Amino acid sequence: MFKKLFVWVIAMVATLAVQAQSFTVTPANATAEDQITITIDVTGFATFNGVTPLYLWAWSNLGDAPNGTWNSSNESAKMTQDPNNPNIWSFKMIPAQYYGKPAGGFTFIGFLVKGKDGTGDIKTGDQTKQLDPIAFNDAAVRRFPSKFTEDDILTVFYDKTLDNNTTMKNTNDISVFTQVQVTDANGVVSNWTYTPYEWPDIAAAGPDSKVKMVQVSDSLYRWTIIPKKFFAGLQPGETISKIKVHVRSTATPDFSGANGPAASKGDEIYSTEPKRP
Amino acid sequence: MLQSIIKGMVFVAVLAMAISCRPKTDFPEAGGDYNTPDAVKGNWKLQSVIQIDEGAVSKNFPDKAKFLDLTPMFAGTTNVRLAINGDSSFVLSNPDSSAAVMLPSGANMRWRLVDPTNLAGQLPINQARYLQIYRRDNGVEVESYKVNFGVSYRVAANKLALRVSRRTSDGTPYTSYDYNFVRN
Repeated sequence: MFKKLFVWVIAMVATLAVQAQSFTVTPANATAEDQITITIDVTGFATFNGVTPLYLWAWSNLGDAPNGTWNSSNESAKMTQDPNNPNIWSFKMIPAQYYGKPAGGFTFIGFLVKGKDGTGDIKTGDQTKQLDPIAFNDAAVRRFPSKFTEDDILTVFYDKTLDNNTTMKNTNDISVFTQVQVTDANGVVSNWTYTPYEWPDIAAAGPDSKVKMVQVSDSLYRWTIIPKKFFAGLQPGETISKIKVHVRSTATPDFSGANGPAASKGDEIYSTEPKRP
Repeated sequence: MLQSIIKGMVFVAVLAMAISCRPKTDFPEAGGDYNTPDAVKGNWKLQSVIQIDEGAVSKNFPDKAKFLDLTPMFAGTTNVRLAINGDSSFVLSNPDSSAAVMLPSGANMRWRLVDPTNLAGQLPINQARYLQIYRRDNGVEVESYKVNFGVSYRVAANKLALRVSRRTSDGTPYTSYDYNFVRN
């Protein structure tokens, strides 16, 4: 009796060893906007004997990837064979792009590897990769939208509730110091220029100054521009490539440190997107 | 008793005849889009302009990172009017020069409805048709712009939603402007 059981266990272990296939997914921590690489080593996996190439069959909590059909996988799902080891296959993807789904909704992706025609269970077992959530990092100074051209509407917000600078929190008259870098028709990038008000001149610019932030609520301020229109004097052929925005008290901030932290935030540098028709 | 039943049957018969003699009414499919050229024509007034950070939408960030209502930020935005004419011309009037309006316009501009399946896929597949604005000089089309119909457009609701998007080189939108019109 024990002899039979022993033989059966040995047989099962041997079978599992033959069936083994080794998956790795890198990096270990990734969001749906990161590129991940799925690699499989099919050494000893008898199911794939003579089966080439191999294809990824993938799904997720948001639905399936463009897999094709079970008996004819899409070519876009074809894996890449390692030129130095024919038993190793890999597939690179950015989940949000590959699945064509919003990145913020992913919690996991699932997948297996199969032959182009999976009929007859020419496949591995199911695998699952958990994805990290994409976090919104709120900040005292933030822009909207995150990507824009020089012709778009750009708004910079300053939120006191998110600031730990006590001097700024006690300031109600807030402006921005701003300037740009431009690229000319020959691709030459300028130094910071087209400054509407130099740093010491902002305090004297008056209540209607175009660099003064508008108070939206007790703690929220905004400054809205269309860069191409705001930075006067741009020459033909010049495009704005970067915008510097420095939120500060309208009164010239004291940087001596004698009265606590200066009423000023650091430089924010925003790159513009190229314009397309 | 029999008399009452006969009266009832006669009443039902007369009622059936009356209903069947009414002119035929074609009810559109419930919930469907009515992006037909005829439905688009007419006078519209701008009710709101919403700026959209498409990247934040994709990431499902909080609303403040996804949307910004530009309407109160630019004086005169709700004074904008759009007249869409049957001869493919249209007039966009912006009397207060609201900078929130980025819809292409001009004397040589024309409009048409386009089936996106006939073009390189640049639109969400759930948009049956979209408005294309193009410029015509001396009778020759020289430039075109794509303006999406928002999914909220319904004749019954008398609403017209147009969307203008900035796109990356691969066609992915990153910043959009929704122009929400109502019948004027």
